[in-house]
Amino acid sequence: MPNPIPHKIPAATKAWVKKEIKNMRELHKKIAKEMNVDLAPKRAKWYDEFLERIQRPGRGFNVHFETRRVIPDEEMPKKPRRKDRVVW
Amino acid sequence: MARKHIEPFVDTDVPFKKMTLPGFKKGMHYKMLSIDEDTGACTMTVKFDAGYRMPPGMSYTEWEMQILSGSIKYGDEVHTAGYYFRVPAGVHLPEMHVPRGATALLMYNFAEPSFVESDEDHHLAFRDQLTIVDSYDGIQWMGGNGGMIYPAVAPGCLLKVLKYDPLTEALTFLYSMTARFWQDNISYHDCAEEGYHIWGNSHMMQFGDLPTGGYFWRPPWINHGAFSSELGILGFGRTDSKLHNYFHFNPWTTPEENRERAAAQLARTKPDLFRWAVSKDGHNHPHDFEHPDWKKNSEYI
Repeated sequence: MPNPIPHKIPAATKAWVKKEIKNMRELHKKIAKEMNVDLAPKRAKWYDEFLERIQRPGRGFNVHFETRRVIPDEEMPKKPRRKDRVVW
Repeated sequence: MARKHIEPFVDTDVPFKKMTLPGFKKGMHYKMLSIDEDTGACTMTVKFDAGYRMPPGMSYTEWEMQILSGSIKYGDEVHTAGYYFRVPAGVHLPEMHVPRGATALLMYNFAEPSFVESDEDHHLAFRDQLTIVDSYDGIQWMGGNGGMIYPAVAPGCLLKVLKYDPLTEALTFLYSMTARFWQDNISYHDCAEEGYHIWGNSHMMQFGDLPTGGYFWRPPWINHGAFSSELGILGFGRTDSKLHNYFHFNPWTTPEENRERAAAQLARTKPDLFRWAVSKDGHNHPHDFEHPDWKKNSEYI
């Protein structure tokens, strides 16, 4: 797993990389809004469904491979007051 | 590897752009999936027009390629969809010819894309690390992460390892979920993880559906899952270091909280190493007697 071979980067390549980084930052901003804001109501429902399934007898939480366990009430997580975020 | 958290991104939503980088011939097109802001290393889906040719040559950095459709000839060897390439820096390949067009996933690791005409290897090349394998017909699926990863994903999530880096345990792999697969836990890892759906649709509780052409680059310690797939998927994935599954069921944790939990697990499983590593007296500069130059020779760290 060597480092890249030392080389001179052409100016055209540097400009291309710079432009692609700029585009990627814009894409990241767009995705972050779509995921953290627009999708939030649907995701809250998916969380509720997940939290129900891990407590359902015969279903439960996947611990390892085919091992599962039903999570008791006292172990269930509490929703914090902060806003939920999934893209960072 | 400093890349933005791109999740999800569906490459079928955007058009191809012409590849204009020095060294690359006309007739190559790309969609940028993610790029490292420090090094220019990147992952792209690429399209080669019918009749595309490149002379024999090499790159200054390692690159990987998974052929998605069509076929690509290197010299006299024909490589069809499913062929995986890992080409170390400086290793030259013979003339490339794409008689009827092809698409591929193309990754330049550790530096920006480069191509230099050459009919011989660079003197610093590691040719023994060249891998060219038919990932569809040449390797069989392993279940339960093949016993490599503990705790493991649920039955029905399968793996084919294409690249394993012995120093960092970074992986490149194909993965598959069977039809009606489900796994009810939330996962995160210490490594960055990248994935591309060659075919099929899966669902993740945080990000919704990931269809054919769906892609993510996810930094360490970010929650993902629960998972499900109605009709199954075939995917291509990579990590930048060891993949350990930290499973839990709190959907609201942050990457910082997840990292602290990972460190707590390290303290439990390797207490002496943990105590030594957190020392504040300045002695904790890891020296590997087996690989004394590991920092110099690694771009993963």
